[in-house]
Amino acid sequence: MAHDKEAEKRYRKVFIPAMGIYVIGVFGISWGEEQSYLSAGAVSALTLIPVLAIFAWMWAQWRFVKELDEYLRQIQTEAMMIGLMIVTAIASGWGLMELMTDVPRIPIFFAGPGFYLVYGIAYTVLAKRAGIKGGC
Amino acid sequence: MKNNLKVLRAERDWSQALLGEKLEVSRQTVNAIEKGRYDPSLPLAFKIARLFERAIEDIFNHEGENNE
Repeated sequence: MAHDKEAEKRYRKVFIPAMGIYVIGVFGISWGEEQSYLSAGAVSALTLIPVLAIFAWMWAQWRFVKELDEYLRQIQTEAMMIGLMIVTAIASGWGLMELMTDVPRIPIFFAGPGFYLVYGIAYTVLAKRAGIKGGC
Repeated sequence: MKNNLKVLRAERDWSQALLGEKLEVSRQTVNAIEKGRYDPSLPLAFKIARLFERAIEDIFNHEGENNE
């Protein structure tokens, strides 16, 4: 359906620059902090850059999912639910162990990429089963 | 839910992509409905029925029930 392709195009138009800003922001802040160029206050202020990029990306994803037809939207929603369930279960379980035992600490930063990793894998499996190419 | 969408489509010699265009859904959605992997929403079922000028129950039926 042409509408789905248009939706995907609109999504990529926001996703690609937002992802670029996010990656540059995260690595730039991390590098600046390591080189002692940035104070703690500056790190906190600059963190707004990747956060705003994430908001832009998520807004684009929201719009993309809403523009899909009902079956494709169901697949996207199922994949997101799988990502949410797995990451929440792991984060809750590991978090509890961090509180109660001496397991290594995992930064909460990894929850986001972890969600997108599981969501991406789940979407790939569900889409393949449904005979769909691309569009996560 | 079973349906005879594939038969109705074949009678008109329409491809899944063309039917998708007429219904404003993707080819994958048409394919999933035809194969019984996905039950359409009520608005989409009405749209399908209107397109083929049939009643919904002439196109869709619960397994075990006969239509036509």
